[in-house]
Amino acid sequence: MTVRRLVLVLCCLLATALLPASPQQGERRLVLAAGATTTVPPLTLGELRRAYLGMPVEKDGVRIVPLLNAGDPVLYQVFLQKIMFMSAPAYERRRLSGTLQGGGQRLREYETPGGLAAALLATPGAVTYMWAETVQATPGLREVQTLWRGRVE
Amino acid sequence: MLRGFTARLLLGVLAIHAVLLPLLFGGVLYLVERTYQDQFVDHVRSDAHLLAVLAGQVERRWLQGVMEELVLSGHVLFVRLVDASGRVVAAAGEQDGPFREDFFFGQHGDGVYHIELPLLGGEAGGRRLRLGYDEAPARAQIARAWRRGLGLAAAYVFLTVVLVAFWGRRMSRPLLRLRQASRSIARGRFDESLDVESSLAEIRSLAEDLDHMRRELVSQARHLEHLAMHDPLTGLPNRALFRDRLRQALQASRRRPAPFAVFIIDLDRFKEINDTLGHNTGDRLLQQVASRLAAQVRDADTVARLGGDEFALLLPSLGREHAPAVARKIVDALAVPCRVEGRVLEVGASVGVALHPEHGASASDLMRRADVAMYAAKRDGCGFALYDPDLDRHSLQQLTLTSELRRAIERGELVVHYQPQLDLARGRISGVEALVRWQHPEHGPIPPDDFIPAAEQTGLIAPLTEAVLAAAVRDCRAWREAGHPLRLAVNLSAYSLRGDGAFERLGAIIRAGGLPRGTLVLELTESALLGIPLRVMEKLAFFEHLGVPISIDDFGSGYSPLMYLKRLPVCELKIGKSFVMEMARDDSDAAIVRGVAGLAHTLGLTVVAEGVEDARTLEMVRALGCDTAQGYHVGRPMPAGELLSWLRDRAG
Repeated sequence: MTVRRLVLVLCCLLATALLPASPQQGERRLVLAAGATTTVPPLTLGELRRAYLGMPVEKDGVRIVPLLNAGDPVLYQVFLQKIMFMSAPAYERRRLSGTLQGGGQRLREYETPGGLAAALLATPGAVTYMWAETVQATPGLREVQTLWRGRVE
Repeated sequence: MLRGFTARLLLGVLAIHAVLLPLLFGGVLYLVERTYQDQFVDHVRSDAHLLAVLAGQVERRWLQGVMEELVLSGHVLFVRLVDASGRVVAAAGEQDGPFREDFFFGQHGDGVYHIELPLLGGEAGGRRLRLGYDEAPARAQIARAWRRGLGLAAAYVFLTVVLVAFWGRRMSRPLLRLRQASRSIARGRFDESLDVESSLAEIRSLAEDLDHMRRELVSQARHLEHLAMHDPLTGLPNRALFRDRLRQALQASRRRPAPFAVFIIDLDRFKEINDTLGHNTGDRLLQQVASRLAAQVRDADTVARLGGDEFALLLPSLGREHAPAVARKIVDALAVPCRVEGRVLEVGASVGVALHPEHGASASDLMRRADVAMYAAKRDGCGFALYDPDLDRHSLQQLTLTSELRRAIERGELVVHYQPQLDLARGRISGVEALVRWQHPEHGPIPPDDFIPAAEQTGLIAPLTEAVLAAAVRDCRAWREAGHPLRLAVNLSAYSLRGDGAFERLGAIIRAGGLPRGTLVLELTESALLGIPLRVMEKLAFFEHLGVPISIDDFGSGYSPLMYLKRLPVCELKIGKSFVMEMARDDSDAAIVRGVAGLAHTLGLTVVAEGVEDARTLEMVRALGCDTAQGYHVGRPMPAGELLSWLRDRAG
């Protein structure tokens, strides 16, 4: 190996070490997803919480329709911990009591990504929480905003 | 070990619980555990959220105090405030290990629930709050719930086992009682009633069935016992019970000496009545006799039917001075004619009496001696007789005679003599009558009248008749081969026709003899005809099929209905000696002989006159119409060997 060549390798290694990892390895992103054709604006945490507790939320002329993504237990727990700040039974109790007291409709739950995507596309103002890679892999969906980023081990 | 009902029940219950308990208690405890975990997670998330909101609102110097207060509360192990680059800007509490956020209870198994939230509010500035909540209190709660649950499960299992064992034993107790009862019944103890109390209808039903079976067995046992000890026809005690009571009387007499008497009663003409009028009449007669006997004795006395027409009495406290009077009373009571099915029947009785202690000290001695006395009374026709040792000696002789006769038949000591019969029309010997003779090696010749009755009573008459018939047929065939076609008459006892196979055995001898039809004639006495039951008499036609007609011997001496002459295959009448021998002196006898001959000829029968002992009588019987003469004047009975030479001499 020539000196010139050795210098090149060392430079590459240095560049690799110095450059920030983006995104970090094993890190995941929880995003708010909606149909690509909808005009759902980004929501504040408070608005999102109210919407998922069954309260009516309307922003920029769009009435928000929250859909529950129940197909992935880990995703659900991340959603509960980062967005709703409560446990699953407490959230279900709150939803139920909210529905009974407010007289609104129960939030629709979807077990399969296909069903959820179809509902997002078909329902104006419909939003849900998803892993970012799922949104990217599902045609017709778009990320509205990132809700959380971190490791899930 | 596990064969018992309780053990099986316990095993079954335990097996069921081994499956159900883990499901039930495990399920409940799982739900409790999940609830505790959810409560913990809920508390952590809401607590952290509030803290994140609070931390976003307050100044940093205030936040440090809040963080330390949180750690002091004990639920939070540590709090870290980090800036947007991840640098810790405030801390409280000790953090062991790296911060790895948990989304489930116990996710990383480090006993700490890590949670990170961004500060919410105006003062957030990209800062994040990291908290570590202690999972130990929740784990302790869960462990306590498990301990309590397992304790409850153990207590449940223990109580179940105790209750099942108690219930099983309670349920199996009546079953054990049933088992004991059934074993008692199997051992023959039927008298213990079966009292089984149980709340179970099946066991009560089983107990009722078993008790019903026990009662039926008791009833059947009593019925069998009664049958075993009583005569079903008269209801009187039978021979077994009579002997038992006799033994009891003997035992009582040993303890407290007291005389008693044993009577054996035999009806005199019962057999004739039974044979001629049928068994139904005979049975009714026996019932009347039983009633009369019972009416003649005291309550303490025993009246028993020993069998057939033989009865017995056991009369306690009866000695020699009163026994004859009681015996006479019995004889008189039975002498009164009985009315049975519209007929008046006279049936006398012979009573033999044996007394205790003078005639015997055992049941068998007393009964045998009363029997001997009864035979003496029957023989003498005196109604009753008290036992006398001399009577026994006669019985012994009779017994000896019987056994010797049996041996004589077996050894061929009996010989057949033949008495010639003269054809009166042709003046030549036409036949012979076979007459059995017993040449005893010690006592010399024994007349038939001495041993034939004994043979009839002991059943030896059948082999005797068969032996005589076989010998006579053999001799007759020899004569025929020698040119003397004689007819052969053989006497037949009514007793020899009784018993299974009698006709078949006689028929086999006749067929084996091969004599031409009509050569052999079987003689039956008129009195013997009365002794033959009707059903047996009807079978006499069997001999007619073999070409062997019947001759009625001693005709006129008995009381036979003339109807027999029509019914039976009779070919010949033999007029009794008493008429023939007195004929010369008594005109009425001559008239009887003439009348019998006329009757016989009218019916197409031949007539034989017996007892022709002189020439005058011979001429008279010829003149009165007899066909054949037999008697000393014609020829004495002689052995077969002599007969041929006698015939030759007579022809010469």
